[in-house]
Amino acid sequence: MKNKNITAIIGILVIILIFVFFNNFQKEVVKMNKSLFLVSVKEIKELSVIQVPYHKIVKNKKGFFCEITIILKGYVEGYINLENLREDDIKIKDNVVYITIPKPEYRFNSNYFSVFKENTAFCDKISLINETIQLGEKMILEDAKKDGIEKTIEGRVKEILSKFVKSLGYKDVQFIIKDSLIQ
Amino acid sequence: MRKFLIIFFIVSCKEKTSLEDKLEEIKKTENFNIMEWTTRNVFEITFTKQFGIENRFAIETKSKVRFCVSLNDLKYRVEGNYVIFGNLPNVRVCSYDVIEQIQNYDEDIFIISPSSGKNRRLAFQMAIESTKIMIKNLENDPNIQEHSKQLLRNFLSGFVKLFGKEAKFEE
Repeated sequence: MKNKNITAIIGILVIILIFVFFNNFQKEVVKMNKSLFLVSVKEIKELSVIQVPYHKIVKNKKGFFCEITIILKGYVEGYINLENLREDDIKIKDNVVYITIPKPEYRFNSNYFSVFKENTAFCDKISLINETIQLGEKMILEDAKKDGIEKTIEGRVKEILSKFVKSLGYKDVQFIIKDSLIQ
Repeated sequence: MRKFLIIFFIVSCKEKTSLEDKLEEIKKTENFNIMEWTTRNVFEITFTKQFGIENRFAIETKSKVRFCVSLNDLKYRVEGNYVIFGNLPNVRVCSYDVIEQIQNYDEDIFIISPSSGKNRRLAFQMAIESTKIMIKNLENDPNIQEHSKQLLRNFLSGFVKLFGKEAKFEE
């Protein structure tokens, strides 16, 4: 009777050990090593994470009979450049990935503009339009900054990269954000 | 040993009930504030008069929109060390303020038009009403939905961590 009990306990222990071994073995297969991981991340190159529509009325007056008002439409796109990521930027410890990423950036992509009002008798209309578009782009980027887009982009970058890293078999990911000027 | 197990069992049961009690409590929240979003809209409004005469107005408005979510339908189950949340509810516009009715403005009016003042007033009114419609449409913006849900995920993760658990989310 006693022997039967011992055999049953040993049997259960063996089953648990096989289960634990098999479980860990499967995780190892899914997980990538650091170099492969870096290649996978770098393949993303530029990761667009958010697009927020922005419109602006832009007035530009250069003097008498040289003024224009345009309506500029488009979207502010937040993105992160992962192309220049180096092996030192990724550290893996205890199934957790520590990744140093460049500061996310944003730009304005215009998809439409219309001239609302113009008085261009004494100046070059085309160059005035181009100058006004550039002025509008700057104003929109300032608006986006005031609206807190940097924080939003940072959040989205972390979220998307976390999902990506976890899909490679790692338990967690921690981010360190460095200045984008290093690129 | 038996005593220890009984105490452990009571303590763990108590902790579980406490977490679930708290989750049930937050589920009663009808309007859980998730985030505030600034939105800017531009409207071009034209009034056409006789003989092709037009009064045109370009108006830019700026609004602050607060998004919230009802936690009443929050679904979860506790499995060991994990709290698994089902599909998170969609966020909706809870309240808003058109904080700058005229953030930017220009007009192109016929110089001797007697109705230009009336048209201007009407244009401002239309811009504000249209802003309200645009704000309501923000609920359908996938960027806003995704960003808000991420904030809700962060909140729920932090919440269950207080009870020593880890949150998982079913997509």
